[in-house]
This record gives sequence, C-alpha cells and structure tokens, in this order.
Amino acid sequence: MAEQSLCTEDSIERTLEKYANMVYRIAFSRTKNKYDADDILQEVFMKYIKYNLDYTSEEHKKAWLIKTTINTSKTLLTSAWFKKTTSMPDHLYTTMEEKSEVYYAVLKLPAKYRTVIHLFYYESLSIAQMSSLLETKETTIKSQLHRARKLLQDILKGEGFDV
Amino acid sequence: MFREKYILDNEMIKPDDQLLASLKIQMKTYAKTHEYINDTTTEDLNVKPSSVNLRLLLKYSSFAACFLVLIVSITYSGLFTGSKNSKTTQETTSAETSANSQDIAVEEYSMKSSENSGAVSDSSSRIYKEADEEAKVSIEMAPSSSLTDQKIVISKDTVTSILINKNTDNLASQQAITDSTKISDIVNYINELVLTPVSALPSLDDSKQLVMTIEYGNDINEDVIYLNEHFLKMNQNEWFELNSTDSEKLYSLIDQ
Repeated sequence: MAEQSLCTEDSIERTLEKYANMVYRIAFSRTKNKYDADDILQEVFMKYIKYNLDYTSEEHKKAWLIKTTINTSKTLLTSAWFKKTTSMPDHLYTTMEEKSEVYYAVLKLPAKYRTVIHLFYYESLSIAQMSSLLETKETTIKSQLHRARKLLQDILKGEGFDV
Repeated sequence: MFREKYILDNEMIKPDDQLLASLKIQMKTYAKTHEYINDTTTEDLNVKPSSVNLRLLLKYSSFAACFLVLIVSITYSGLFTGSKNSKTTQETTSAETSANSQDIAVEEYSMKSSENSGAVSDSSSRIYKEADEEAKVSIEMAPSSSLTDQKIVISKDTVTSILINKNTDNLASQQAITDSTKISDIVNYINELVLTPVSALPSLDDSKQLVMTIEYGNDINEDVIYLNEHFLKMNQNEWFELNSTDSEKLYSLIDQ
C-alpha cells in the first residue's frame, strides 16, 4: 500500500511535466478561454490523482487524460451556468488573435471541428484513435475533418497555408 | 505548412507556473492524505482501548438523542399548526409536496452522484464509461429530435447542416448540405416517413449504406441516420423498413 502511494507521489511531477501542456492546450482549444482552461486543467489532474488508476502503458495514460479533458470541457460547455454567461476575451485569447493567424483561424471553427483539428494536427492521432477517444464513427470523424479543413481553407484564403 | 505553423502557435499556450505549482501541492496533499488513510491497518481499527469505546458510545448516543428530539419537535409543531388553520395546512401541503419532490430530486441526484463515485474503480474502462455518461446526460438536456411511435421528429429550425457519407463505385464520398431550403425539404420528408419495424433484418450490404449526420446549431448535438436501400436506422435505435416510394424519394432528395 505504501509502495503504491509512493509511486503516485513520485509520478505526480513527471505526469504534470509531461501532460500539463497537452491537457491545457486541448482545454483552451475547446473553451477559447484561459480561465476555463485553468479550471479544466485542475479538475482533470485532480481526477487523475483521485482515481489513481493502474495504467497499462504511457499511451493508456495519455488517452485517459485526453478523454477526461474532452469530457470535462464538454460538461462545462453544456452547463447552464456556461450558457447563461459570456466570457470576456482574456489576454491569452487576444495574444493568439494578434500573433497567430493559423491558431486564430482554428479558434473560429465550431468546438467539435477544433477538437478533431487539434487531435489530428497537434497530437498526431489517427482517425481510428480519434474515433475511439471521441466515441464517434470513423466516417463522422473523417467528414468532420473534411469540413473543418474546408472551413479553414476559406478562412485562410490567400495566406498560402496548405491545410 | 499548416501543421508546422499550428504546432508552433500551440507552443504559446501554456498554463501559468503559479497554477502548476499550486496544482502540484494540491495533488501531493491528496496523495499524502490517501497514504495516511491507507496506513491505518484493519488491525488498528479493531483493537481499541475500552475507554475509547466508551467515549465513542457516549458521543454517538448523545448525537442520536439530539436528533430524535429535533424530529419529535418538528413533527409536533407541524401537527399543531395544522390543527389551528386548515387553510394554511392546504397551502403548506402543496408547498410540502413541491419541497418533497425537490427532496426526491436532490435524493436522486445524490444517489446518482454516489453511484458515479462508487463506480470509480481501478478499471479505466469504468472511468471512461462514467465520464461518457456524464457527457451523455448533459447532451440529453437539449434534445433536438426524437423517435417515438415509429415516427422521427426533427426540429428543422435547429438543423444547421446535413453531412452525407456514401459509397459510390466503392469510393467513399462526402457531401455537406447547408442550403436551408434543401435541409428543410429533407427534414420535412424524414418527419413524414412511415416507419415499419423489421421482424427479421436481412444482412445489409455496408457498401450500400448512406450515413446522414444531422448537425444542430448548438455545436454539440447531432443525430445520425443510416439509410440502406429500404432500411433506415436512427442513432443506436433499431432498424425500420421504408416502403419503396419513400426510400426512392428520400434518395432523390439527398441526390438533388
């Protein structure tokens, strides 16, 4: 028992170091808000330590964290509180708006398209992996990617980016 | 080009160091508390000095007595008020009924919560399942369609687009319908369809299957309708049979 707890404590720093950015980036791409991303990051890692699961591999741990991040942000986005409030653009959002045309173009897409774009281009997940993580049929993922790319092409028209 | 720039842009998005430090402390504190609880072995719990047992007995029995007195006094004051004014009783009864129903709702909610927390086990699949159910419940909060009494009802005003996935000559093709008139025509026709339950479903050829994803403006909900010649299925429901005129008309509306 003590051994298990020691392992947990030891792995905290390594896990945070390795996956905090990943979780934060997925959360921000879904919520478009720094403060909501902060909340999601905390919630996901508290779930991680609370459940203290026995992961079969690093890939398993990564998949669990991605899935929990998506589900936690989904819960936030569909909450009555979120629907009734309008968040002010924070400094991170405005920085991305000013400094990054590609990322800002992605932020203009609907949430589900932002998620598939992020998982595909940033996390380099395959269609099959995304299908299993998002519990959506592969054909749906393909068409979402297709539509997202088309929308991005329209937004980035003339900028010379090959989406 | 796009991928490289997108990855580069993402590097700008990082959590604050202060937030990470605080999170680290929270997680470590949780781990330590957990370790402390685990350190208390079963033996320690069972073997207690008799003075401790006596103190515990006195403590809990005094709590129980206070609780009983509280319940009796509440019941008595309720009865007394009731006999004084019957009209007030009627009003309070309705108030109590709504309060009771709220209590039941709260109880159900807490039961669900405890079920959810109880579902937390070492198995990751159960965690996935729980998180999914959580998400599903929130999605079900805003239904945009229904399938009851063998009729599909889709609110056409909320549909923003329809994605069509089909195979033609063994080649998968995708098409997005965003024209409101066309969406309206298709949704109206789907709403009018007469669906017949299938007693014995023949083996369906997947290559002939057409998948319609109906997207709603709320950005999260969507319905998936599977069309395979004369057979139709919505989401995870069972297959229904269409008459040949209906299926031909539906295919022609999609192909228009």
